[in-house]
Order: sequence, then structure tokens, then C-alpha cells
Amino acid sequence: MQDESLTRVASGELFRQSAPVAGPFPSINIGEFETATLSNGLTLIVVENHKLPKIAYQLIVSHDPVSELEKSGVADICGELLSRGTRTRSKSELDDRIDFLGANLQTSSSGVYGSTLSKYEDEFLSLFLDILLHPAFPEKEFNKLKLKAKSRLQSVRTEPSEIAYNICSAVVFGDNHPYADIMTPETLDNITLGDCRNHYETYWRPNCSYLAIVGDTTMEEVMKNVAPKLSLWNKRSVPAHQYEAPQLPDVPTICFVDRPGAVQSELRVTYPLDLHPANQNRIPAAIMNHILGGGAFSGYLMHNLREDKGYTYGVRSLLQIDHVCAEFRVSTSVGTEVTVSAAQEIFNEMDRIRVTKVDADHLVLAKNSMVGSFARSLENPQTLANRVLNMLRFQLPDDFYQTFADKLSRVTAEEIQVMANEYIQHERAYMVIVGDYDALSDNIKEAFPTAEIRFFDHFGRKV
Amino acid sequence: MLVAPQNKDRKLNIAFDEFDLDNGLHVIMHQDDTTPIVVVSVMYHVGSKNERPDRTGFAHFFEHLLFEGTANIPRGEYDKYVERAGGTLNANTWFDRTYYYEILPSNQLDLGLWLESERMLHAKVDQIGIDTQRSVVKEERKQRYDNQPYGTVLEETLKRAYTHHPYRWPVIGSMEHLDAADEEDYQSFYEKFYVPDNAVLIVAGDFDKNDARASIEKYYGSIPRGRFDINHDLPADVSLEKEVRDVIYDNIDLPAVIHAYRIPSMKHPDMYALDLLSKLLSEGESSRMHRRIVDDEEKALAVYNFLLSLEHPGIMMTYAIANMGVEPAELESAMDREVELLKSSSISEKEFNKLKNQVEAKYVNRFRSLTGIAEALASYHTYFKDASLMNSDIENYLKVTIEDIHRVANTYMNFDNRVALHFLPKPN
Repeated sequence: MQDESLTRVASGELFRQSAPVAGPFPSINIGEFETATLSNGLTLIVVENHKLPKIAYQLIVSHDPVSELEKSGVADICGELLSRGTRTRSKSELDDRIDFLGANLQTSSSGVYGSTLSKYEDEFLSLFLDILLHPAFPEKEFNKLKLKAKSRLQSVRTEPSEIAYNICSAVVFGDNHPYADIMTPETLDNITLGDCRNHYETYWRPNCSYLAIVGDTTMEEVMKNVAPKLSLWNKRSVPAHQYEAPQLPDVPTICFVDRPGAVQSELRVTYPLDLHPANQNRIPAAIMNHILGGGAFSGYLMHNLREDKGYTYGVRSLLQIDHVCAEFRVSTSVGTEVTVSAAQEIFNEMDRIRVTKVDADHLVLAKNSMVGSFARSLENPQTLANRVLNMLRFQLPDDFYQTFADKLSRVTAEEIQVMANEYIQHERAYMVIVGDYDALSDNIKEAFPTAEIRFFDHFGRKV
Repeated sequence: MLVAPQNKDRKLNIAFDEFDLDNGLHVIMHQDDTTPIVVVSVMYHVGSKNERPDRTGFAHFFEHLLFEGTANIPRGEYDKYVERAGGTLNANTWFDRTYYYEILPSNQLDLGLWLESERMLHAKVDQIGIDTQRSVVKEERKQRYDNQPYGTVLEETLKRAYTHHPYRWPVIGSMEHLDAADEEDYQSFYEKFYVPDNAVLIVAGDFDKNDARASIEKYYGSIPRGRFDINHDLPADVSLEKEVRDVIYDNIDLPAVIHAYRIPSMKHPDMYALDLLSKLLSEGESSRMHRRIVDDEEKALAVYNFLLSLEHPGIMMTYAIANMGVEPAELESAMDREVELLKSSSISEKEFNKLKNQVEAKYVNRFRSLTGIAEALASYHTYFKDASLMNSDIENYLKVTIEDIHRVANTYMNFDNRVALHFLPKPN
């Protein structure tokens, strides 16, 4: 037992009064990688890392996105089907072996990802390649996947954040854009097994694909053990697709999905924009978004809506760069009674970053926080593989990541404001609300008298 | 840690040093200079089970308050120190413990130590902070539980699985209780639990051991010990005696069936066999429940079995969401059939070896990140007073036999030891 005076003594120690002074920021080494291209056009990326006895394989098919419209979901079902049977192995045989090795393997519309302990790499690789190169598209598995997808779709209307995601995709990218394709029970019914097989034959080709191998292996081993098997994959010209850039709405537009009795509203502010990964503005624009709401606790939005007003558990802004169509999106969940106030505060902060030059403290904080996050990301060797993938896919300069921290540190407050005026606007934005319309409608009309209000169902279809 | 690439079946080992300060603070240091970062974290041995029944949610609410400020850090500045230094921070609360961490560039170790010492020595909360965080936590509850399909599954299960033990309420707790709490409640909770002899400090990553130790002595050495006894031995709950069965109507479209079997504390030797049993039922596509109930019979959209492995006796949950058009009773009988099969017949050598391989692969993944390593070291110390289990715990898994799995299935997976819930869509 002791008395409180000890606490006072410790509390009063002078060295505690201010934060310790730190030495210089550690140097950042982004790491080593090797690449190779096979005769069929497949690009290999190898990141050696022998810290853990583990290897990860990530295959990315990188074709132009395909507009699926009334058959939305073909690429997804096709991707899921790949691991559900090959010419020589049934789904349960594949599952048995993958689980037996303690490995994991998933297929999706964008590729195949799997990892294994390195002592099982030979068998794992043969399963991985069998799935990639010899999928059987069994009818029984196709029907099972469809039933599963239907059950999942049935429950979408009870999942507010998923509904909000659907509405955002539908309105931001507009009709006829692949990013606006949303699987519904009707589009699912339209999909045939032939569509899936055809999608695979057309788009899953080595000449538009990348295989990143990360972990306890070497380029030499990869060239000896992996490359010869992959060269059996036949190249074929893959169709290109171009899409018109989505337009901004003419007036501010409120997109509503009514959920009577909801205790919270899902709130989004979003619109399309043009920001390719190779765009010179990428780094200053990312800092600008970090200041607005891309970071953790101290961004404008989080500080205002959470720490000052207590409206929400969290709010974030996303400036999603993309080679086809980029987008801006603010996301939050807020109590029904403060929905309109929260929306107004979001717009206030979007205005603030355009009108007011960011102060030195916010700017330094954002830059340091981003450099720090870059340094932390190096812990995972998969990060480097993903960066090399981006460099190759989007033709980024060879030194893009090497010079990233340096470029970031040189961005000025003036540039941030220029970026805000280039990429942030709410005069022609979509505000998506998934919430109780009756409880909100009067306030919304009063707060946003010029806005057009549209109603949607949970799949983003106009009602 | 770096081992020659040709050895593909090597044993992993986390090297660490540990010591106690005079005030009872336990310190664990793990050095790894692969990446120029350092993790500073503190685990306090306090969670929702230390709450008063009329002040539930307090431990978690307190975690929010401890970002507010300290005697030397004004309100709203705590996280800015970390972000300005290029770091990140967060915290989480569980039934048995509360955990705070910073991940910083390696030049900022002292900053992390200073920040956590401020939190331990003289955190300060004012009424503005309390009011703001109260409404933040209310929104957190709505977002993660009330407005989320199946969000209340755990809460509804716990309140039926326990009658006396504080595990009967969820970590997020009751919003009415938070409204009722006053300043004295905060002060006494802080003085009782946020003390060096109820905490473990972890430093992991790229740092110099001597420098780190000197800084730890400097920032933590004079923080006084706690002045109140903490009773970690709460009375065990009575057995259920018969199946507790209920139907709950929720904002969902597909029904769910939940079985919660009471299991022993995480410290009980049966837990290793129960963990393997759980994997046998639902880990991976080839697991029994997944293969038969999801894949072959298409009765469930998804099925999971997992252990709520807690310091005091916990629960094992099976949680299945019915496929479209499948009645909950039909799904439930498939779940029961798998349990019956497990109890009545042995498992094959091949299936058993699969479980061991899965355990091994999972074990390797535990070494993937510094934050994961730091948290595992902190947990092993907090619960077992033995951080070396980080390296040796796998031996306990590998000792489990086929007979053990069969035995624990028969011991724990019984009707009179479980809660059975049907979650059904609310009628329109």
C-alpha cells in the first residue's frame, strides 16, 4: 500500500512534460525483386524472403474490364468456379489436398491467390497450376455456386453498408460502364455455364497476366520448377475494351434507399473523377485526401464528426486512383437524428480544404504519417510484389516507389490547395443515404433545397 | 531469424528478454531489425469481466477515454503525436484484457514509451471528452451490433450461456449504464486497474536493448504500484443442467442457427483438443461441416465453429446461416448429426494429420508481423505468466491424440451443456 503523494511526485518529474526528441527518420529500403517474361507473355515477379518457411503465389489476370450488363456476375462466377474442379480432380479432391497441406488457395475474377509452407511447394504448385490451366467447369458446381450466390443476394437488403456500396457503384459510373455492373438475382439467372467457360477462354491468358511469387524461394528455383510448367499456357490475343468516362450529375443528387426504422443511416458522398495511377498529381492528391479524411484520427472529417461532434464511430474519405475510372468517396455510419447535420459537416470540410490553405501542422502530420505508413508496409514482403505489379501494369517510372518518400516530402501547402480544387467538389456530387426516409425527408429538403432526390432499391436499380 | 533458404522445415523461434520493474511492471523486449519500425504496447489485465453488473461497457468505454489526454498531453493531441512521428496507434478491449499499441518508425521508440507512460501515470479526462466519447461509443454499438444483420448473435448467446459470470454481457455493454456512470466511477476504475503491477509492456522491433531498457526505467520506474486489490478469481458459473433454447427475431433475411457449448478456461489442457476439434468441424473447404452441410447438402450458406477461449470458462460456438428455402430445424439436425458422428466414431489418421498440418501452418503465420508477435507475447504473459509459450505452445497441440478429440467431443458437446438459438427474420 502506498499513498497518492507518490503519484504526485512521479507526475511532477520534469522530463515528462514534453515529448522526447527523436533522432533522424530511419532510411527506407524498398527491397529487392526480380522479374522475367516467358515466351507466352506471362510476366513473373519474384520477391525472395526467407524469414518464414512459406511461399505465396499471386496470379493476376489484367485485361480491360468487361461490361456484363444483363449478365452481371459472369467474371465472378467464372473466377469462383476455377477452384471447383479440374479435368482430373474433383472439388473435394482439391479441397482435401489443399487442406491437408495446411495451405490456402482462392480463385476470383481477378486471379488466383494461394500460400503454402515451403516444404509442400511441389504438391501445392501442381494443384495451383492444375486449377489455373485445366479448370473443368463442372455443371453441378456451377449450379451450386448459383444457389449460393442467390442466397447471398437475398440477404443484401439487410446489409446497409453493402446496399450503400451498390448504390455508389450504380450512380457514380452510370449505365454501360463495367464498374456499375451489379449482380442481381435476375442477372444471375441469365448466366450460363458456357458464358463462364467462354470468359475463361477469352480473358485468362498469359499475355495479359502476372504471377508474383513471394517468400522462401529464389528466381533460380522458379525458373527451374515453375516456369516450364507455365509455358504450357497458350497465349492468345485478348480483346480490348474502352469506355466513356462517366459524367458528373448536373445538380447535387441525393440517392435514397429507404429502410424504415433504421437506427443509423449509411451516408456517402461520391463522384467519378480522372486520376490514373501514372498521373503526376497522384502523390499531392493523396496527401490532400489524407488531410481531409484518408488518415486515422486527426483528419478534418474524423476530427469534426467523431472527436468534436460525436456523430459517428468513424468517417473516411477515399480518393481511389484507377486506370479506367477513379472516384472520390466519403463514407460514414451516423445516427438517424444527426444524418443531415453530418452531411452538412462533410460538405463544410470539403469546402474548407478548397478554400483554406492547410496549416503547417496538418501538412507535416499528413506527410509524416504517410511516409511512416509506407515504411510500415515494407514489413510484409507481399507489399513489394504488389508495388512491382503496379509499376508494370500501369507503366509507372522505375523509381516511383524508390523516390516516393522524397517526392512526398516536397509537396507544399499551395499544391495541396490546388489538388483540393482539382479533385474535391460537391456542387455536382452524389449523396447516398441508406436510412429511414420518413424520419429524414423534411430535414433533407430543408438543408439541400436544390438537390434532386432519387430512389433506389438495394441493388441500385431506380424505383 | 534469418535462416539459410535450403532448410524448408525449420523451427521458428521468437527470442525475447523480460524483466520486472520494482513497481511490478513486467517488460518483454523482442528485437528484430528487418524493418525500421518498433511496436510499443501495453496490455492491462482488465476487461469487461471486471465490470460491475450495473456498469457494463465500462472497460471498453474507458479505452476510448484513454485517447483523450493526460496531465501533459492536452485533449485531442495524443494521437497527433503518433501520426506526426509517422506512426499509427489503436487499442481494443476484450472480456479479459485491454490492449493499447503504437507502431512507430524506429527513431521514435521513446515517444511510444512516453505516451504509454502518460496513459499509465496520469490520464486525464474532462466532461467534454466523456460526453463526446459516450456518443461515439453509442454509434459504434449501432454500427457494429444493432444495425448489422446477425450483429447481436454473441450478445444473445452470452446472456443465455451464463447466469452469474460477467461474461453474460458483451464487451460493448449497455448504453444506459454508460449514461449512468459518473466521474467517481471513472476515477476509481482508473486507479484500480491502470497500474504497473496489472500491466505488461512490450517493445518489439528495431531498437537498441540497452537504450530501450534505460528509457523504460526512466518513464515507468517511478510510476507507483496500484493501491487496490484486484480479484481475478471470479466465481465460476453453475452448469446449465439442460439445454437453453430460444427463438430471436432480427432484421435478417436468412435464418441462422447457433449452438454454444460451455467449455473450460483457456488454461485447461482440454483446450488444445477442443481447438483441433473445432478445426475438424469447420476449418477449410474439406472440414466436416463445410463439406457436408454447405457443399454436399447445400443446407447452409456458411457454417463456422470457433472457440471463445477466455480466462474463465468460455464457449464453443457453431454458427450456421441457412441457405434460401432451408428450414432452421433441418439445418440444425444436420449440425447435430455431425456432432453425433464425432462422438460415436473415431476420426481417421489422415483427417487427424490434416489437422496437425493446419495447426503448423497457422503457427507459422503467427510470426508474420511484429504487431502479432507483440500481442501474442503480451497475452501469454497476461494469462499464463509465461511468454515462452509463444514458441512452445505448438508442442501442446502436437501432443493431442485422436482419442483426446473423441473424448472432449463427448465431454462438452452435449445438449444439457448448450444454448441453442434460432435467429429468424422479423415478420413484416
